[in-house]
Amino acid sequence: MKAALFATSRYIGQAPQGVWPLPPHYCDPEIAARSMETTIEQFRLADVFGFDWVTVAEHHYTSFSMTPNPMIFAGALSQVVKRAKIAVLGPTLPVLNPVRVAEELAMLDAMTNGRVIAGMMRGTPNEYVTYNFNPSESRARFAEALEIIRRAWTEPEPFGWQGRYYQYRTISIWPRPVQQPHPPLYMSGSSPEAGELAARNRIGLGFAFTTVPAAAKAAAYYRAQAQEVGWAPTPDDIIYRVGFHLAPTDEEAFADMAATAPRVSLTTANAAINAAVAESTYYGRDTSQVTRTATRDLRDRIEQGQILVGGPETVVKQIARIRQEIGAGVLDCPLAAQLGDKTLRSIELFGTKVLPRIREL
Amino acid sequence: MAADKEHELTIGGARFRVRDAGQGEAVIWLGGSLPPALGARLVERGRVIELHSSETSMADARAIGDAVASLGVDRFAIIAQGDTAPVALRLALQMPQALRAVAMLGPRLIAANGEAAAAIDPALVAQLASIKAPCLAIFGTKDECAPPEAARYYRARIPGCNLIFVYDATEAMARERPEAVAELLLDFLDRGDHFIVRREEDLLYP
Repeated sequence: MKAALFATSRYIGQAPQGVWPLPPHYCDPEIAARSMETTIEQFRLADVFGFDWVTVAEHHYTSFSMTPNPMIFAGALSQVVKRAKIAVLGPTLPVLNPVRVAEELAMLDAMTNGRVIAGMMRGTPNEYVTYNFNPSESRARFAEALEIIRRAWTEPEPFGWQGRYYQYRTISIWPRPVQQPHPPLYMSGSSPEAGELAARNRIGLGFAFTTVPAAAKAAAYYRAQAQEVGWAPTPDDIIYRVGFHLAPTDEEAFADMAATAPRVSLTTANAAINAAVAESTYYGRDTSQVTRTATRDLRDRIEQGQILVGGPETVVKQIARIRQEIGAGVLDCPLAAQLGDKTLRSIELFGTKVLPRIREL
Repeated sequence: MAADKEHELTIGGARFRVRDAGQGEAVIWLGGSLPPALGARLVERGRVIELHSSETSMADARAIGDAVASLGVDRFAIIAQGDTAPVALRLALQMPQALRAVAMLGPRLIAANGEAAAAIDPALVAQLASIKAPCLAIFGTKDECAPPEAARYYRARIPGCNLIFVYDATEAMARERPEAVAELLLDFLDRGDHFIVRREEDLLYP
């Protein structure tokens, strides 16, 4: 099994939680700069301690994740992270220019000599508000943008595109990706539509901030859909995102977590915006997603496979269950807490005490 | 397309059914019935002549050129759908002075491996580099008759050939996505190779 460290460039100063958009006046630029340095150091350590990937993602208008453009952060990481793959999980396709996404990921692939993992995201609902897109069009935009990107990476001659949402008269990107025909592709989503699209496009699928039972069901559906179109996903085609915090003992890990404020997801941070997005048919058939990310008690979250907390022995057992029930081959692990040196220790413990034991799972 | 005139024409032994509508700069349509939604847009722009014939006559570029000339047209653009693309390209080679532009919808001249498709004269494929007229090759991303994998070879073999993919469309793209295909064709017919430069404005509120 592989593991990725997902650090979101969280603001390390004081800022309200559960507010979106978060007013910029809460941001002290100097603390923001230190937050970026902290994150880069965490990624550097992850590389040293053997994580297979480091992960960056796109979110907007929040202190939880100060990487509105993950490509910029990935560019910086390309010069710091020397061994691990750099997973951009990812650009929020429906609100971006897909040709630009193809160009930037190809550029990153060249800068890392072929170490880019390309995750294509539909985005959290608030993201459509950011750039003023209609959420109800997000699935269709996503599917079309994905096809443009793949074609931009693989067509050897300039071509144009007459789509439903995108129109280009000529696309001819430089550089081409180092990984041929293109970097490994993933998308995310627990809904049947996501499973069908990933299977049809023969790409990997990631499950983020969900539960083990829900992800297991979605993974089985994805495999079944893939089988229908003639291929079989490997464990490496399935990513499960789960937060983690390790300490030398279970007691210390739980005490650390007890001292942190419960996380409020971006989706649930603003009930009014979320309700408006839900009205727009954004969720499709996957209405349960609305409540899946709601805040839960820590023990309940561990039981549901939403977070890994404990000493190394305990966390290995928690991961084994994820491997067994979902069949995921890649764990994408956000930092469950920003606790300074304790977080650095958590990264080291994961890399040195957990990673070697989950390799053969 | 609602025709102003519909008649039969015999040229050198080749028989054509002609549907003729609109006025002004002429566009010749080859490849079966012109879908009404697309035809209506083309007729707004100028004269549209549908030429229908048997497969044998449709393979004879010279007969088609003569048929068009007999209709009082000495310079024209051609839109060739599906397996009529070879005759359009032959016309471009044989009558370069008459042909303003060539647009092909799902051409079936070159196979996915880059070689001449079955039943296509390899000599024609070898001559494509001599074509001077502005060319546009349009492929549906779901076309199974003219595989999108072959599209790159048109661009590579025909100098300056513009290549466009119509998303989520099959070989019936003119019926499936008439607005998208019409917009593309009209822009190309109006501006030729210059159509790669966008003209529409994005200004929201003046």
